[in-house]
Amino acid sequence: MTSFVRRYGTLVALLVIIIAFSIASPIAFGTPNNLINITQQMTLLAIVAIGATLVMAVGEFDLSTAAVVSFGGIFVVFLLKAGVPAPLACLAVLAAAGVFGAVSGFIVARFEVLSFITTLAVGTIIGGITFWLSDGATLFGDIPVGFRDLARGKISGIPTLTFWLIGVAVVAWVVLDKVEIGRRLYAIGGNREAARLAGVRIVSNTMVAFIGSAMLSALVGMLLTARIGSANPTGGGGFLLSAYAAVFLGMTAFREGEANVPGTLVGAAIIAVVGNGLTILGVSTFMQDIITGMIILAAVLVRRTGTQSR
Amino acid sequence: MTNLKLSLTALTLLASTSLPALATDVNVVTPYMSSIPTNDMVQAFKAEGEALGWDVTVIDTRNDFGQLASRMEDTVNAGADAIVLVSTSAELVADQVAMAAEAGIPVVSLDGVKAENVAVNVTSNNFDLGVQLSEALFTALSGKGNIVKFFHSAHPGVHQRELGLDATLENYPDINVIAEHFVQVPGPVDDGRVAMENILRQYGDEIDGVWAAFDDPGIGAELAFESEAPDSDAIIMGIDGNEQAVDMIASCTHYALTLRQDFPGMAKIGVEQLEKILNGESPDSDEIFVPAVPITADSLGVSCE
Amino acid sequence: MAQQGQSFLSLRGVKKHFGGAKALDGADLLVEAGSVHSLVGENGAGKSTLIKILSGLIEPDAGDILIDGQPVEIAGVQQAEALGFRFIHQELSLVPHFTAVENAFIGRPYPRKGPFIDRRAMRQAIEDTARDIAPDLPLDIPVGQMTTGQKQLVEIIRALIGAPARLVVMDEPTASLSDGEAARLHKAVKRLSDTGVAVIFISHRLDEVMEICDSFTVLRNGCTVGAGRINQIDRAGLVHLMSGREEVLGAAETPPVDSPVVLKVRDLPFGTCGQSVSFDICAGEILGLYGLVGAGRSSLMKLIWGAAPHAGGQIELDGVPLRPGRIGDRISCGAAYVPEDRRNEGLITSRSIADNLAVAHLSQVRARPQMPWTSRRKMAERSATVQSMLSVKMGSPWHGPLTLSGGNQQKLLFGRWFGEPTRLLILDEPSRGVDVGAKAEIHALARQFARDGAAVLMTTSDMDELMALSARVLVMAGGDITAELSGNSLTPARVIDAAFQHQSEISDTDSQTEKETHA
Repeated sequence: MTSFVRRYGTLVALLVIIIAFSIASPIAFGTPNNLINITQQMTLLAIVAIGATLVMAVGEFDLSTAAVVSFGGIFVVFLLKAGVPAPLACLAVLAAAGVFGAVSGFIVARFEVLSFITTLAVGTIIGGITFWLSDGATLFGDIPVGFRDLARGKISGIPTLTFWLIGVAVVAWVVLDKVEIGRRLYAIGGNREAARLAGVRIVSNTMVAFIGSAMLSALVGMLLTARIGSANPTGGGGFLLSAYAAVFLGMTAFREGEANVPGTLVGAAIIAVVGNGLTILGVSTFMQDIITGMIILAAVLVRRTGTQSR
Repeated sequence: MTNLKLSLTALTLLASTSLPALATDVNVVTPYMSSIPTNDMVQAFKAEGEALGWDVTVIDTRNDFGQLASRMEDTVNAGADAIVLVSTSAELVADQVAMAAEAGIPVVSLDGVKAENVAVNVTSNNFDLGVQLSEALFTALSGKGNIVKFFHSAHPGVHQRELGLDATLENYPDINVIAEHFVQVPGPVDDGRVAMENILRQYGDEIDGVWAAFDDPGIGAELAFESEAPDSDAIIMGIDGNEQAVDMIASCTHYALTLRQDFPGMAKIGVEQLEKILNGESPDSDEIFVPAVPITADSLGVSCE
Repeated sequence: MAQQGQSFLSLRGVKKHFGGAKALDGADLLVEAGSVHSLVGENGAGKSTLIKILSGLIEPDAGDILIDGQPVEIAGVQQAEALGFRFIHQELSLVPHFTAVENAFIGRPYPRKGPFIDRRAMRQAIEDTARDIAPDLPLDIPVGQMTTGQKQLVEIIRALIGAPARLVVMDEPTASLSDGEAARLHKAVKRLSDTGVAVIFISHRLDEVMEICDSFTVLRNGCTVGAGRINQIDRAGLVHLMSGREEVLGAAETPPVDSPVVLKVRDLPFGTCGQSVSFDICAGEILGLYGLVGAGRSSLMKLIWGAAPHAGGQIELDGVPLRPGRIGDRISCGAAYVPEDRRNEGLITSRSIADNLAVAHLSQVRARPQMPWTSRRKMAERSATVQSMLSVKMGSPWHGPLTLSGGNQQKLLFGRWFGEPTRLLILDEPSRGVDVGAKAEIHALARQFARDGAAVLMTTSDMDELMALSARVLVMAGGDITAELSGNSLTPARVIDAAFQHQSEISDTDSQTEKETHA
């Protein structure tokens, strides 16, 4: 029983929240259309959170996430304005983000600097670059329709963004759960010294996790820009805490205390559903934050007490 | 030896007294450089000021008010000739403004509010803007209908607009605020979009108008209408004259009007007033209002019929 | 203050069992006030358990503890403190950027002046104690800048302030000190005992034991096998008491004479004073490496495994030179490693048993050989194979490794290397903390690896294990190899004697390197 609560409690909580909102607002919330729409609303947060999941798998933190989201949005518009073709611009943004991730990962693994400090510093640098690229202003215009379509519209009734979510989630899930690199990342996260002594290469594998996280954050920056049609140098600022909240919620699901992709999706879904449902019910934004925070605490506490009663 | 010391001291004294006289150091401090209007205003101020031979330094604290206070202190300690606070309330950094006053450094506020120790606040009256926007929206709705309100009371100017709305609502008993949303910053556009999508779920066609305290959430609302309720008759009105909003108005979307504050005008008046102060005169008044310009399809020369 | 000669502390017939293992089996200890008492014994003889009982960390199963002839019970750390017992552990617990004065007051009530800490009073309190014990100790520099010896002195001073101390227990205080520093510490210990405090001094340096101690107790297998005044015994007598075994010869198998050399170690820099080690291991041989705790055996194992870099020297496996610090090189040459510390260095406790068995050879659990795609089925198969080959008692391979007993956990670390031919097997304390049955199985396993042609390098603190498995033994002391024993010369007494040979040439360069590492 306790084992079931520990593994599936968070998923059950999500379902309970959905059912509760559906009863409270059957016409607006509990419609297939709205539920599909929630998948679109949670996409950006979920992709950032999946990036955070990779880094959490090796037992580290990436505080530069929000800065990379902002950077991705600004840099892509900057390149588009400079006349770079959209596909090339996107690749350049991902490559630049990859470099940032590689630097963080290398410093963390090779010199064993706390990832908190490293990514805080790298994030600050990226923030500075972003402001420098944009002169501190919101960038608008010169965004081709093809680029905007990356995050707008629907394909056979399903929002384009939802496909991004599914794609990224599947790839990340395969990487972490199905191929060898995932075993290595989790081994490092589980016990770095034991993994090292068993022949796992710490530096290169840690770098992979940080590179993945940075590239996903930059992807979100670009999707955000495509979605709203402009880029703001602080546009990603809101993602950091919610993304880690999603990961932590997810760590209470399916696996015992380990960051995992399905769990992160559940975590992101809880945050998105609560926001969507409470707005529909006309609850103020402040109250939404209070409720989201309480859900995270509740989830973690349920798991804790579950573990202790073992 | 003594001679050398003397002449060195003299040189230092000379340098310290004469350097500021060569160029007037004006420090522009703002937490909101990433917002387009603030940016416009700062750039205009910089251009106008530099034309007068001032040395204009811009300091942006990126939405961080703690830093705003610190940078103000740095500026005062560095002995600037004048401080220009942009898009923020001087009351938030009252101690630092007092510090500046004590050091004899004049503080001019652009797009802020009137406050103690601030020589002059040049702004469009945000309360009036709120009234102007509300009147325009309610008139377009013929004085009757349901509106959604996007607000952000953490920004003093934007909060004044909200008060303007409240005041106007008293004269229009048939206008109903059926939903409201506190816009999250950073990321106001996407936040406005998600909120509008959710509000549309609940109220759909009941919504007749969207009142956006600034254009960013209005743009988000327009994006939500485009994907969720393209056929709705609702209209959106906002404030700031944001480029993307103007683009939407020109494309005959739900976005019907944005009030553009005359930021270059404000910057210009700010420079004129500061020049007077630096010349030892008093400013014209402690608060100067610059009227806003409505931008609509008509004013843009587009026909949407 | 107690009078000289009176038996201040006495322990009688103390017993302690951990699970099936006897840690203490009737140990006696008599300590007089104002004397320095040496507690000696080889690894696992029960010294630490006895000390833990005195410090209130564990309670004995049986036996009496008397202070001044009155029976007492030591139920907790606070009570030990109240009895005036102070402990100075080998791992120093000082805050590096605090000064001696600041460190001395950690966890103790600070003298106050109104609401503020009275720094002058703090310094005063330390100065008085320091004058008695170590007059030349700098009190106002951060201890991080001090040598290990000076830090020991700070620990001693810290133990003495506050409520009056009656007994100070020092666990290998000189283990990492140069001779000069050790001499300074000896003086401090003497001064301490002159004030009437009893000192229990644990050391592996028999020469210093002979020099500074007044009396001794020898433990072997949890029993007191000898005690008395130090001037009534000599070094050889102590070694004899500790080893206990007269002329037991090793029962280990010897490899065939023409067996090829598998591991060749040449001039590997090791130790703190520029020493180096060289040795060979042949196919089928289990080379034992014996040394007391702190002799540097584990560090040597890590160097050979490539877990730590070294400059100069050569390590060859089957004639292939191995680059320093490259674990991957070793694995691809067929080397395997079972670390000493299962929890921290061996198992990835948050992952399943199957994951732990697969992590070193992930290519063995691919769904298809060309694709880095991990197959759960193959992982389960691998677990099942290891389970049956090594007779691991486990439920599902998807459970966590901590659900298993210590012996079975240890088998997992062997099983991790299964699937590729093993040329070199490095074992660091292969049967620590496992029960007798599992120990025998692990020994059989090590012999099987050797019989299959692997060179086995094993380090152990367990003399019986050493004698049972190794036909050739290297003994380390103070970072040096002090003896190579085999055939008739391989007896427990010879091993112990070599292990207690502290090299006195280790001079002040020792403290020099200390300073550099802290700078």
